[in-house]
Amino acid sequence: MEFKSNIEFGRWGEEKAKFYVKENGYKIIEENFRISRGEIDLIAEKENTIIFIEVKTRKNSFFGPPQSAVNCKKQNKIKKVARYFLVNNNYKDYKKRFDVIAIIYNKKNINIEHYKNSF
Amino acid sequence: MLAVLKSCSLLGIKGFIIRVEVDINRGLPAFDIVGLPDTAVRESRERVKSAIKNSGYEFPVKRITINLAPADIKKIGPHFDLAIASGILAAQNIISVNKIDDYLIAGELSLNGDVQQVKGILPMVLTARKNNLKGIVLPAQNCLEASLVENIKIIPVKKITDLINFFKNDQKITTGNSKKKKLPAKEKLRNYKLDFSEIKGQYEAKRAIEVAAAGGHNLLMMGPPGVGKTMLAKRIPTILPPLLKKEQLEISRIQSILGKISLADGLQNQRPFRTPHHSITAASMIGGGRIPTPGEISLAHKGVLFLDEISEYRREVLELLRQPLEEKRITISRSTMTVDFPAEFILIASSNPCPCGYYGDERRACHCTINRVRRYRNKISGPLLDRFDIQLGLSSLSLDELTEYKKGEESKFIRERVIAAHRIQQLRYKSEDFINNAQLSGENLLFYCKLEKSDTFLLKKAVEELGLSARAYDRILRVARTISDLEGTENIESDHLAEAIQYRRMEREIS
Repeated sequence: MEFKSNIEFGRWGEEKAKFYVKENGYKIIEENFRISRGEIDLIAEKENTIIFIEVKTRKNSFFGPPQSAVNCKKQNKIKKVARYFLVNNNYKDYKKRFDVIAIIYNKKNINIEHYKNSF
Repeated sequence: MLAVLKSCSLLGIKGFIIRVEVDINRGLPAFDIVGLPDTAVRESRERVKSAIKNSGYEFPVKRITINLAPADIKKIGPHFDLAIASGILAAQNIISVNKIDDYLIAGELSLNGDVQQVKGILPMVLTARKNNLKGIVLPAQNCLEASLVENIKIIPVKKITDLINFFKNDQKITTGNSKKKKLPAKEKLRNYKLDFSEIKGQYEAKRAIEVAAAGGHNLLMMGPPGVGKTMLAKRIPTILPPLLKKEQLEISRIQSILGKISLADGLQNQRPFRTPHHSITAASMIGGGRIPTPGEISLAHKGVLFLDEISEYRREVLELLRQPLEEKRITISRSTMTVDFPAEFILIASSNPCPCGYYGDERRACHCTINRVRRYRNKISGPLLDRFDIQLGLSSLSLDELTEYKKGEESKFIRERVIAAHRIQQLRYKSEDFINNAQLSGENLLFYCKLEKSDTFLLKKAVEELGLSARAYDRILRVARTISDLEGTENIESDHLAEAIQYRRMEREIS
């Protein structure tokens, strides 16, 4: 598959991640939840838990694996957005969790890794 | 995937085992070191990462947590690198965890995977032996000092791959250094350029120095400029007795902490002779720093600390010497830790009698007022002066003595006598925890320095007339003991005692 831009490639990865979590019994609540402070790629629900998912897609791991790009700064950003989301939606009785889905796509195969409760 | 292995941390000259726990988990890639690491330990992250990568192994892209236990002690120094790297390899089953548990691991890593020399190996090896470990893995450059310790397996490594090979298939390491370098069994021939024969006259001073060297007594020389105070002091190392094996270990331990033992220079087999300049600060004299390191007095352990022009030293620095002079060790307390360093040294000091230098000289007049002389001498406080067993006044040579072409006694003859006296002391104190007369105290003093009745009377009178302190009384007895050892007599005789008393002349002069 060819991609016109990195943005398109990222969108494609998020799409893959969505299917992946659906397959695993998650219910998607929100996609690309965006406010001025940032964005959360996926917000899902499973077993009375709200899960905020960051999807990271790369074509190779020459500069480290995709999951290592979710650094402290990015984590804090996601936390802030998640807080905003929780203030405006009533999920009081739910547990909360942050996940990372790392996707490596190199023409032949797609490798998806799911890191639960990663920060 | 947990690996636990052992490294060592130092507190003063004592080492203790640190457990390095490495846990590798699935999760966002991270590399955390906990357990109060100091900056150098925290930075080991980068070194370990690169060293593993550049040695041809993969650095795991996982969540790595390293705990240095016990967690309440600050971990200092770069020598944890090797243990952390081995732990990461062990947690991935590249090295067997069971095997590595019996060894202590210490060494700094460089980015290309080489193992670098570290400070303080000697105390670490001793710790490993004390804890009944099988052996210690250490940098090849530190092999020499480690070989001082017997009954423990030493595994010198040059590269991180050496370590992997050793634990993988118990391969013998062939770094070339694995054979223990034989220490020079006998002391190398002393090749001093300096010799006592160069000093003309000053027989009294030479005798006093001989006594000081034989018994480990402190010596103060006072005299006008140019009489040879410094010259005499510089030649003291030529008559000091050889180091015992135990003493060498103690000295090397201190030098090991400071990283002063190198493969090129070998081990020190001579007694140290330290001559700090008078601008020295308190911290460098007794030791100090946020992480306390030994100072000059500890570097002079089992040797001589020579303070030239003692009145020029800062007063507070001199007063600091009082406690170590009595206790033979120094305790340094800082907010983070309290450490003990040994400081058993002979203090040799020189000074002028007054600011112009000629007070009491036969040939030149002194221009100082009596008040100036007093102020000058007060720089050496009473308590400090009291600690000099031998207080020596030197006077300038007469013209005849100066021009005379006659060599003095050679150092090697003086040294023979000193060694003989040393041997007597060693034999006598073989069941005690000290080795020379200067350390006699209390009960031991009474036991080993018995006086005849008439001599007791002599000493009593001297103390009374000269107004000597209780400490001076003890010190006179010790010096008398040394003099009789030099003479080779069993008991202290009256002329020995008389000589010892006359060495305390400063207390009689101007007051």
